[in-house]
Amino acid sequence: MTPDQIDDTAPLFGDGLGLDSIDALELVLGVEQTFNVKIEDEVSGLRAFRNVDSLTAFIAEKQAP
Amino acid sequence: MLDPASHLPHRFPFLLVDRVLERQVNVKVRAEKLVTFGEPYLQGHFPGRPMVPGVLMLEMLAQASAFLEEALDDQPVFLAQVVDARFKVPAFPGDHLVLEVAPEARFGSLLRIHGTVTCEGHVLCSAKLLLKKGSALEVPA
Repeated sequence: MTPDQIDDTAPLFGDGLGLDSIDALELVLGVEQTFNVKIEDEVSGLRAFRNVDSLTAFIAEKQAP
Repeated sequence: MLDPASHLPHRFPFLLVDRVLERQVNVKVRAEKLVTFGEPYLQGHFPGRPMVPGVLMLEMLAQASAFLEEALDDQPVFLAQVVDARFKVPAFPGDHLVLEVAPEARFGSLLRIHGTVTCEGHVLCSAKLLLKKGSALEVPA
């Protein structure tokens, strides 16, 4: 699968991209390392990880000065 | 002295931590397991040539990791993923195994640890494990 095959509005977990809860930790670490954005807890994680668009918005919001 | 059986739900023959030697919550746990000829699995692994199965060393590390948690209760810790495991030297009856685990990352109830099993200063096994505390992992289909 290539990045342009991913629908930015499709759910990352379950039916959409098919990630599972094990992938969530990898995603948290990846976002931290790549964007220097901390995902503090499960609640904010679940909000950010709905889909690619919500993750983009989450990172942009955290990076805003 | 912390009694492993009072904080792990595992029992003979699957309680694989004998003693917790050092416990720094969220930082490091050092525990020990003495391997004896009485371990049931050694009868078949292997007849006349007993050695501890490598997967049981991973289980030892997983059980020791339960003591990294602040809250000590008898909630089981489940293995969710074996990220990397290396078995360098087997463990034999009579070996005094030291289990050392430290957290690497945490998110919600998921905890990734790095651990080593050593005997007399030699590393027998090292591994990164993903663990989940509480309920068994439910992975959406």
